[in-house]
Amino acid sequence: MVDVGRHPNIELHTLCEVIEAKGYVGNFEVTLRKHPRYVTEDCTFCGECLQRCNVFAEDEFNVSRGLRKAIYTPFLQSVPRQYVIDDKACIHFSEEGCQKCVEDCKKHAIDFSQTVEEETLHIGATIAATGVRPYDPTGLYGYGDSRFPDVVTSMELERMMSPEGPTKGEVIRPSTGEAPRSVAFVQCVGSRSEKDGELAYCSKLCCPNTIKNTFLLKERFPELEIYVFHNGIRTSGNRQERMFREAREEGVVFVNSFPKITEGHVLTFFNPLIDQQWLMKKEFDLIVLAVGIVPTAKEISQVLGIPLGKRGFIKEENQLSPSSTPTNGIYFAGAVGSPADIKQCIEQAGNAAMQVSKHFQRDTAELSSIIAKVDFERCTGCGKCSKQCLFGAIRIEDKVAVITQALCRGCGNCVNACEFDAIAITNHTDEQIKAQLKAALSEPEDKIVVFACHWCSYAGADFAGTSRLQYSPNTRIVKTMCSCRVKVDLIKYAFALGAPKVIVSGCHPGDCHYLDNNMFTKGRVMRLRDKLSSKGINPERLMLEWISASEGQRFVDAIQRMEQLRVEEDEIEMSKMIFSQPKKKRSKEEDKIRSQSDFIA
Amino acid sequence: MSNDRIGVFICHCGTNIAGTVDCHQVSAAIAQTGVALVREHPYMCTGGQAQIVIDIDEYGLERIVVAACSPRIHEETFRTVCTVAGVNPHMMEMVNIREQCSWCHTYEPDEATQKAIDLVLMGIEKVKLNVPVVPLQVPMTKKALVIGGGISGIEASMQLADLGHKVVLVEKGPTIGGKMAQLNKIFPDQNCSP
Repeated sequence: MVDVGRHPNIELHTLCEVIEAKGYVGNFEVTLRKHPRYVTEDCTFCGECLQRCNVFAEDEFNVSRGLRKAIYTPFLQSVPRQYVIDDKACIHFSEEGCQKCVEDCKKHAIDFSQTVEEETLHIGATIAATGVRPYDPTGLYGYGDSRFPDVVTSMELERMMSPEGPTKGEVIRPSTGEAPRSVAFVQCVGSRSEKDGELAYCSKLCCPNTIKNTFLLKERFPELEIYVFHNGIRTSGNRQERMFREAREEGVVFVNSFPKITEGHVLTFFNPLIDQQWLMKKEFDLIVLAVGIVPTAKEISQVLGIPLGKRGFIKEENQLSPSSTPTNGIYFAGAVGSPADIKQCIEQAGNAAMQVSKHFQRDTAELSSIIAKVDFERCTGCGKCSKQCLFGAIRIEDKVAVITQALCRGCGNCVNACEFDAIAITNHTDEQIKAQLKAALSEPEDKIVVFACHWCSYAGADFAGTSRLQYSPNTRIVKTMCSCRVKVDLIKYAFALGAPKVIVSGCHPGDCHYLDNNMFTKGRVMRLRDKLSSKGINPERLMLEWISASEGQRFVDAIQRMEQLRVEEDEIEMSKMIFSQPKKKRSKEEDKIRSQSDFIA
Repeated sequence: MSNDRIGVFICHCGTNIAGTVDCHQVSAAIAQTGVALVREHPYMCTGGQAQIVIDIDEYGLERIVVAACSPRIHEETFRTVCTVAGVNPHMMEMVNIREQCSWCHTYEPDEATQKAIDLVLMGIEKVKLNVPVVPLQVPMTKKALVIGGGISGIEASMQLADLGHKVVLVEKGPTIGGKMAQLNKIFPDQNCSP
């Protein structure tokens, strides 16, 4: 930590937020908002000001279990080594206009004239490491209720055990100030629960953290009775499992039961060793709630334009690039991406730093040109493509869609969204895919057209070949970058050419190499299947299959299932006829006329 | 778009392809489409590379189709060959007649040959409509922004700074250290918090 403060290559800004980020890899322009510290770098950390200040505020660093002055340092090893004035608490900013600390500072390091400043920086790459906050268990197990003063969170216990903490390292019952004789830990408080406001995931560090605390407590109070109420202890890996075993050997009692709390800090629980139905009751001096962790990624995701997963963590580009966001040049590290302990945070930070360092090895960055291109003649600026682009690469400017080359990945989802055929992917145009289909279906009789995505399904088909798995030679594979590129019109075109059967294949849900674009594919294919049904065509002739790069057998199985499907000639003729009818194209002019007539009406 | 500047190269891959697919039949069929050149080669990825360069020069080829193994294996190889020969790498299409043809239809050589012909025809149709693509080069500002001064941000900054890169570390609070600084000891070995 101290090294950061004095490293010549690190420019440290505390009390600072990133409020805006624009640009692309190698050329980001970010705006920082710097909040005033009111204490300049001349501060020598002598502490005179602290002696004079009489204004107290809640000490956030000690989870509000103590007080600090209005001029303070969060903890003694803070970096930078400068005091800070809490302008919400300090009475200088009230009518009283106190100046006591200013008077006593021999270095004249206190400067109340500081204001909020903004600064714009040019940077090449970013690592988001905004971390997590502990889950607030208020309302659970009597936490925050005055009837249960001796219920604390794991973070509060942590601060209590710290020599710098509010109790100077003494573990006490908050209600009496005495040492506890019995302690209960309750695991999974607000975690692994689908209830509203609770965390659906496992925070992964609460189990080993609790076990660590049982050791530290046993060290101080060998006679202490410790119970751990858990929902299945999760101690994965070599050393954590050893901890769990040692804790049991030390006499810590692990009970697989969710207890209920009643007046007097009495926990009621099942004793699984004796009888599931037999209720045990036990009073504890101190109850520690092991709370999970909540990502603090929302703000930064909005500023940087990177997507979040369902649980609010930063979404990784795919599981094989665990530090990468979908935006080239923006990476993340630590628990903001997924629950992680200190060691894992350090590992991920190293990974993210390596990714950034790779960019910095070169003087330029290469941006792919295999991206979406907009035909401005046809584009109406309706914005549908922009809404469907999960990469945020399309914005509407002056009533036309504009592509940000650095953000576009060339997946082709926008091509599907466009009703005006105004958008195309370079070298993956509709015309090209249609030309391929035409060649593939010159004799369509028993052909199976397979659309396979570059990353998974095409590789899966390759794997089938490498494994020498045999399947029907009637297959004609058309490669697209993503399954979402398979425009509904292209499937219809294949049927119009007389294709008896079509398979659309992509990466498994959650594995798509373009975020969740394959879910768009699913929606489109399913809707088209419904349409086939409604037109009296067997929907089984259109198959949607998820095939990963290692699933050669699954690819073959899909082909074989399709092979077994019997399609009569008249059925083929019917689909050919239905889909051969030219689709009425929407054009810019027509839309104008329509909107005018709407206006008149 | 006419076929007259397209060169089609068909790889035997030893017997990997030619053992099942009748490559002569494929080249005969493709020759009828009027492409400028159809050439077979026992190993396109080795000796065939030089052949492409020579043929591009001799026949003035502008678009190339290589029917061989999976593009996942050798697309980069043949793109590089094209670049060397002065043809934009995106004017080359690979057709997969090994992993997705000869290897998986071993006992149906006639059908495999017909499939190979179709696949090459599909490749020709695609390459006809390809356009040259040049990736955009943008300058790289060699300065990193790290957002968050917890253990991850500190570690990432230190790693980059030690590698000699300039780093701006931004922290919302008055000190760095984050949640880690609030911890007393850390599992599994009860070490002091770093």
